[in-house]
Amino acid sequence: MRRREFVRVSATATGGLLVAVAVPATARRALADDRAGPGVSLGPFVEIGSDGSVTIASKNPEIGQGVKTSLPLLVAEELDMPWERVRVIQTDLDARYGDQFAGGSTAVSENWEALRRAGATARHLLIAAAAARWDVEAASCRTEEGAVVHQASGRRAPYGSLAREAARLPVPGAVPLKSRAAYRLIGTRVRGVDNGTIVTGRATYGIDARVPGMLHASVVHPPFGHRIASLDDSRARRVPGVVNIVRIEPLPSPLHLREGVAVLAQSTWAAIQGAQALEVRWTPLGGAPIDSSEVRTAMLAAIERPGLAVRSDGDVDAAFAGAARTVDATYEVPLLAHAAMEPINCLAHVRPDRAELWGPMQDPDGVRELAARVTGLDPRAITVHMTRSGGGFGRRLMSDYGAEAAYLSKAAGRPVQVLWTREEDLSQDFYRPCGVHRLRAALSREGRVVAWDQRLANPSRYAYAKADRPPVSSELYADDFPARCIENVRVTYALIDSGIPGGAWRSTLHSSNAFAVQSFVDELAHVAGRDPLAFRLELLGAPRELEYGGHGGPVFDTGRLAGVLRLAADRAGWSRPPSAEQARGIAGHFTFGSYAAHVVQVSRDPAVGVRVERIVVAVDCGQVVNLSGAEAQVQGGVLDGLSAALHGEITVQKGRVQQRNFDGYPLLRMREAPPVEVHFIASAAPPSGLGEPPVPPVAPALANAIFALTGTRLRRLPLAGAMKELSKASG
Amino acid sequence: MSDYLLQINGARRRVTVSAGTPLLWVLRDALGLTGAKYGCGAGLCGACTIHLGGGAVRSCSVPVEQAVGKPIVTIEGLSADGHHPVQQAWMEEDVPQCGYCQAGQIMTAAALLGRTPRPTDAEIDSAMSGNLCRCGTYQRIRAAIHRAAGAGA
Repeated sequence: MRRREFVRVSATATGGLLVAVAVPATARRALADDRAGPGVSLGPFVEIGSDGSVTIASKNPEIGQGVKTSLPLLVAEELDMPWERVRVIQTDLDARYGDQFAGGSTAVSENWEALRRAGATARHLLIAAAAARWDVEAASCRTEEGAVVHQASGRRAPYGSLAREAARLPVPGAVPLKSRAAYRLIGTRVRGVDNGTIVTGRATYGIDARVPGMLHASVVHPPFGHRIASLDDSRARRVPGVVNIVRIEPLPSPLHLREGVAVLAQSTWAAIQGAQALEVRWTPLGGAPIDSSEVRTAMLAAIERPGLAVRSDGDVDAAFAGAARTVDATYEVPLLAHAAMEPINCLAHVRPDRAELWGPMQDPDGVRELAARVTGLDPRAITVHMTRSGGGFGRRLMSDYGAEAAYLSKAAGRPVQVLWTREEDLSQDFYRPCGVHRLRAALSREGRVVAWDQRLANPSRYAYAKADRPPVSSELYADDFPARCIENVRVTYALIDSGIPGGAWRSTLHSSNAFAVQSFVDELAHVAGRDPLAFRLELLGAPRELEYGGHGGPVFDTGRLAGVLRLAADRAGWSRPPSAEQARGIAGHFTFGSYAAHVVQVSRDPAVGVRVERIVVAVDCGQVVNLSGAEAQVQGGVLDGLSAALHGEITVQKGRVQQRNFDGYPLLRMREAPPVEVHFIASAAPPSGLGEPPVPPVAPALANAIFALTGTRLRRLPLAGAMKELSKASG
Repeated sequence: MSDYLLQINGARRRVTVSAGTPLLWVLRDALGLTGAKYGCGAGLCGACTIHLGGGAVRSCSVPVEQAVGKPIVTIEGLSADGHHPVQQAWMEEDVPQCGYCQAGQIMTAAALLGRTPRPTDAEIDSAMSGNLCRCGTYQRIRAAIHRAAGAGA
């Protein structure tokens, strides 16, 4: 992807150098459901003080994906500045910084060129300033450890002493960037810049934000598909510390602000107790189904017939008619909640002429837009401070909680921090949509796949959002494997009506689609009597670039997917069979521009039926920027995928979510967490996404391993219950 | 509202809160010690873990009355400057991702090492499985606990 880049240089008030570069604002535009992001804009990224200090701004929300370390690292690399002497600051929301967004695994890939350019430009100017001062050729100078050095004369000038002169120089044209061989930071292990404040409890998350005079709010919301019929708040008002009760009138879209009743109090505990003392009656609105079982019945019925054509290559019906064998299997995935460890919260201080918000967010611009809507203020009068975020996983791409905080602060005339209880957080989410996949394949006599017929029926999150896009486009990706790897391919989609909110969940629907596709490929391999790895490599065929229109396009390189499958298999010892009590399964997937393949090793275990012993992962995400952070993202993504594959399931009855806390919605605990071995393909390709690609292959690799161990094919997520049953069946 | 005298991080602090207020909210709202985090309010996630009377407890589930007369240590008081071996090990191993659960993880780990200076993997898993990490840092937590054990925590 090529973009124009701009550089702007200025002096600071104290004689420092400020370097700004243009940053493309494309990621948010590509992902936001109903809004367009801003265009290219300018923002200051590097400030070199005359005192020698170097400050690098980190502009994207830090939600645990490590951007507050990896983005400034790009600047420091080209600047040739020792990392220990760089100070990183988190910026506020500011149009000058371009895209400020955490979604779609885009932070590093979108900023890769621009942030290195910022560092290189600053370095170029500092060298030019030194050369001018010493009256030598710039080409005879180099940089090291935050200083310009002239080898021939032995002269050395720290950056700080050059900043004032550098700021007066003309802006250079395209400054060359370092060659890969010259990297000192990129590709190394760099620890998180906030580790020191995190381990001492001093890091400020949204929930920790404090301003004088603030009230704490706890909110109850109606079940889905319901409105408030009546409210008796007399008991709540008698709770010591409760100051006020506010009815929240919803915005037209539930994505923006839901109806609710808020208890405002002097302390969080008083607010929570007050909310528990509210007596609210709900009345059903009628309309779309709000029972997950009803949605499931509709999905199972819908996959009995073809839906809307998403892809149609060759002649599928003819290929089935002439097939030696056909295989037919149905897979099911449940609703998933985000359940970030930091529950939904936001602090707002709305004044008559301006407002300020503090909170954990993935889309600060969305928070500002909605705060403007509920307060009637101009968005330019609203300041948004991004705190560290205790996870996001896609939930905080919705900014309803920001609107809620602003609404309550405006109503109270005071700063208000709204904090949802875990029960509200789990029951007022925007869930990863459920779905039923039916896959059919036709095999030739030799065991080659000659036709592939795939149907998905589910409620689309775009349909729920009433987005201005086809409902299918958030659910099914027409160019996903095995498109163009099999001659005859038909993919169809049936939209199922549902009033249960849908949203983006880490890796979006790749998390469920890869489960169906990669499980089914495994089934085909076994039917064909082939090794599952060899069968996959054969399906991928010769290394080539295929057109790919979804996340992480424009191409899908079959050779790179084959590469990670081979590497993971090699490191897992695929060619050496494990013991009789062990088995392995493999799966690979391409998304967000990156390739991931996992080998899951399982064994029989009397306590849980089947135990996950070890997961070996190979990832090709292009150039690794921060090896420690990248490895953490992969380990974390794999365990997230495992947590969902084993336990994740939300069910809804009459609009009420049945799982209220971590007892009903278990997350993976340490005793269930296998070692995850991470191997990166050494690559000179530009960095691609990493937060999400490790998730999709986990569930199918696990199901494939369970089949290899037990001969039982599990086709419905989550798996923990069925895994336990397997141990009983085997005695 | 009632007055309670607490011993927190080596200092005596008087607070005025409603009877039965969980210690977590006393720390966070009345005393401004926000290192302990709210995650579930039901003792299921461990984000609020502190030391009470020398042992790790879920502060969301301890009413303030039960804390009177017992020394309380929060993440802010585990060491004066972040030099507790567990904190050091957490930084060395680059454990945190989002970091939200880590104060609770560290307090549980420090209590474990206090009673079991050289824990096995199984002992670590057993002691730490009450602390959820949604980011999946478990592998580095194990490594950090072994590192801290080696450093004589």
